[in-house]
Amino acid sequence: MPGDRGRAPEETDAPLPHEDALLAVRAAEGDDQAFEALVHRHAPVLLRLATRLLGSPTEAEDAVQEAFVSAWRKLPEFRGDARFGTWMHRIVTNRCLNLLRSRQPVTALDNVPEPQAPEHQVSPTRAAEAHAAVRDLSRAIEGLSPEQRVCWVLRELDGEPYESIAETVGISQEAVRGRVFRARRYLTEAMAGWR
Amino acid sequence: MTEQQTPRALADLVGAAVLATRGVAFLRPGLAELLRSSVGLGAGRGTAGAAGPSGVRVQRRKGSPEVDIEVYVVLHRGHRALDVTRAVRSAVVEALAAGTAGEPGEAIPAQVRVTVTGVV
Amino acid sequence: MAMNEDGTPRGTAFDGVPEEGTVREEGTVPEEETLPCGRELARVWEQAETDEPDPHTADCPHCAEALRALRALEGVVARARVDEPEERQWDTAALAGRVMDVVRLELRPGRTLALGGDDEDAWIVEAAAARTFRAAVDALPGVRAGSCRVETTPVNTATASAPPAGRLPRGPARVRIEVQVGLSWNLHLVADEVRARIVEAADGELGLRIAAVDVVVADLLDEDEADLLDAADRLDEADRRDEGGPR
Repeated sequence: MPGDRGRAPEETDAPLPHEDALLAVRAAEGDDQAFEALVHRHAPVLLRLATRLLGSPTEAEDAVQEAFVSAWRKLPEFRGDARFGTWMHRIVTNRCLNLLRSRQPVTALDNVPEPQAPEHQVSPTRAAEAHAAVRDLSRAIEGLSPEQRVCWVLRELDGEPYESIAETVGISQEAVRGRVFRARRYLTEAMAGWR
Repeated sequence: MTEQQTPRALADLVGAAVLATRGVAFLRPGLAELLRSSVGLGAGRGTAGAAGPSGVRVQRRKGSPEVDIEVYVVLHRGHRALDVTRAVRSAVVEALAAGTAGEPGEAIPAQVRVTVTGVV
Repeated sequence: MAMNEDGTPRGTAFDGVPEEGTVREEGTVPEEETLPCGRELARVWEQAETDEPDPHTADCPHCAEALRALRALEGVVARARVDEPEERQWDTAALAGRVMDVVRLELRPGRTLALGGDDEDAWIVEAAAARTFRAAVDALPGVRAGSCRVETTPVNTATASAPPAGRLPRGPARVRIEVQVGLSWNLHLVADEVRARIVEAADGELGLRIAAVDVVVADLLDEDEADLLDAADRLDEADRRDEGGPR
């Protein structure tokens, strides 16, 4: 797993980066069909990202939709100094971060979770057990602060380097490391029952 | 122009004639699409509303029987844009004449402006 | 990157949020945590992440326990990734449809250019003319069009009648187009070819008079990429035919 980490978001861009750059220029000059092509090329990756960040496919669809609309409006200012995929990644991440912040706090101050023990004692199948663990993990993620959650998801699920996370969310690498550490600390505690 | 023919009725007449012209894919998306689309995404920032519901705008001139007609069309590729705008103009003029047939001397003098807003 | 996104000035994404230690959740996990062996937990995990060898950690039961906890979490995370639908399984058609519904209400047609003679009240928006020119240029093997701007220059400003509001004066058009070109092209030759295609398309497909065409080679493509892009062009063309548009 540490092996799959370390990709910058642009490396997960759709193939043919020249094609993206070209489509973005066309779209910036008002070619809506070029923009539609960009939407099709980038929507899958962005939907997966937003679903990871928000934990809800429905909310993720809304977030990605709004991000694309906002991108269309801002494209004339897009000078192509970032790749289109990187730019969209950043717009989606920041939109999700704002959505997470606007959610009502679910838990009270003292929310270090009870270790979740596997509920079943009688030789469950490995698959069922793994499934239950994943479910508990997504529940535990809800206990992270929006900032911790975003940094942790980009690091652990998207496998991004600290450097590009720092750039995406606009904080220092050290701050990203701190948030990822606290998220891990919290989650290992929450998942203690699974060791 | 007869009193019965409101600008809206004329716009419908003109719109039908334009859509029947070879090479025309559709009238420029207008208010109908605006209302259909999802709410809350900043709809209405564009200029779609200005042309009326169908990409056809009809305006009477003050103190004159003449009307100004503006048509916004999206064309199919493979048709020469200038030729299509000419065909559109003829179709509009014919439609106006036919629409007022039976009322001698009532053919509506019109100034027709055609704008190609897209090619698909 | 100088881009703002979402109207948020760069670098302020986390502004307005109290720093660690004061926020609801964050206060519950200590800033620094030292294991009974004296090592900091954060440091132990970081070493594990960078595969940095450490003789102490290898033998220390406390460090081993801390690493087991991290590995267990990573195991569940890996499993969560496996459980996600694969990229191509996301249904993006509906999403793209909704996005484009909004986009088409906020089009950027650009300038409005006159078509035909002085007595004709016929016009075409720059975006539509540019699309036609790009398509004509894309049809050249190993060439792809990017930026394309079109404007008209009045032949004689004294006699030309003033154009309607928001429209460019009548007169032949000047085109500026940027192209990406495959390495096998001679650059002078390709500029001539591009110019010829645009003049041809302006007359044959639009009915727009051309005064000049400026061709800028913005990028060179290696042959593999040029081939792929040509293949993509052919697919686009096939799609268009499938949609039944008259040719």
